[in-house]
Amino acid sequence: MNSTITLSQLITRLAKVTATDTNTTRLFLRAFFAAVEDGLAAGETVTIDGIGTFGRHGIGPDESKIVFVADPALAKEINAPFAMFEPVELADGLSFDDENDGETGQPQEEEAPEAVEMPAEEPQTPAYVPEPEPVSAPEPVSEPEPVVAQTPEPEPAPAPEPVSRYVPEEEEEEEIAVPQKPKKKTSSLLWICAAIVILVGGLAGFLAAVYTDDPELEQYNITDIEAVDEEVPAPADSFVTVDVSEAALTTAETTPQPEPAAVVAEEQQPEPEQTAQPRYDTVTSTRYLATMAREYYGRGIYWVYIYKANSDVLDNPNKIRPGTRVAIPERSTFEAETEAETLRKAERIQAELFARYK
Amino acid sequence: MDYKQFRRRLAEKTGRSTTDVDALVDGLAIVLRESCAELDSVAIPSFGTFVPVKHAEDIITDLSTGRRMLVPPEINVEFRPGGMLLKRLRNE
Repeated sequence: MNSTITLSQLITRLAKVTATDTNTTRLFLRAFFAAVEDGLAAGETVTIDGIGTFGRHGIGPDESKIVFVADPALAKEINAPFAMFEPVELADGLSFDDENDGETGQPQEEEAPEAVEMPAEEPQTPAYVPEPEPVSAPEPVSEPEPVVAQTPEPEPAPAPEPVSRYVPEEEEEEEIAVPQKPKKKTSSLLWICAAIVILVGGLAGFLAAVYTDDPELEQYNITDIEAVDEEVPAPADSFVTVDVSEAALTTAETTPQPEPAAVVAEEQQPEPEQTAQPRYDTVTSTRYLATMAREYYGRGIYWVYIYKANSDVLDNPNKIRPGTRVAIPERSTFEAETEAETLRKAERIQAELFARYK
Repeated sequence: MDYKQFRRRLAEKTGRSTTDVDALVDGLAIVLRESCAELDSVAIPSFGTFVPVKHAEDIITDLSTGRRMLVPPEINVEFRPGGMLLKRLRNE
């Protein structure tokens, strides 16, 4: 479109259309235009069916002016896309200077309403090809010809304003609506990054709390110790010194004694070892199982093992009465092969106790 | 010179029959039509250029009657003679 076809291209196309070789078409075109030239030079008007009429026009110095009028058949074929349209008379009150929709003109013809609506709205008629050609507004001054004629004017003909107006307006509106999105994306990204940082920090803190003794034990340190004024009989007599020998262990198995010493003996059963007499300690308002575990075992979470060794005496680990005497089991009674296993086991027992006494 | 005379002259020049000349002329018309419909110009060296010019829809006024008409778009084929052709015609 809007390109120029050279002679060689014309030769090729003509050969293709006529199913001949390029030499034939080349010779033909050469003779064709030479014949036209000869006719014009002789002062004749050359008429070629299907193409047009070549003639000379002018007097004197302008006699060399050549006029070409396309053959009606050629013009008709070329304007076939616009064939469905005909000149339409416009209503008197219709003005293309305004941007309003305007009054729908008097539909004198079938195509009149379409033509009337065109200036105001988007071109509903598809035939008025929306050529975005820069066109000036139609003014009476530019219409000096008294006769309604469709003769081609050399100047680019003006087009109705609304047709050319409406298209750029739409484009402008589209352009305006665009640049509002990126701001929201950056702010949302910032919030997401902040949330991630907070989560990571919280997780790190939680992990640090899990693997350190002091802050954890705060929860298990018995803050709910009920101050009991009444004397709590220390079950000292109930505790029996444990003989870790095998005989003692077997007897402990056979005699189910609810005493904590028996429990300790049972726990010691799989690992018979030579131990000294079990130690005891007393729970006070400031001395909890966790405190004892940290002191005896080096880890506060090992309070669960003290609790288990005294489970017959103790109930809710969060509510142990001050004065309660508990036995401190030997480390070897609960220690696993590795420290990590012992720790995991303690964590598991702790979770179970929390779930039970929540 | 009408088309019959032109055809005869062309047949004599090319040594072909009038039928062949008709076919070639028709083919040339087809090529010109297709090119101009796509708004492509056809340039013939030393002769001229066939230029399709599209006129957009226009409003014209019949000054005698005062009526305004909306004219649909149109493509017109113009011929712009080459310099050699004009020079020859001036010299003739």
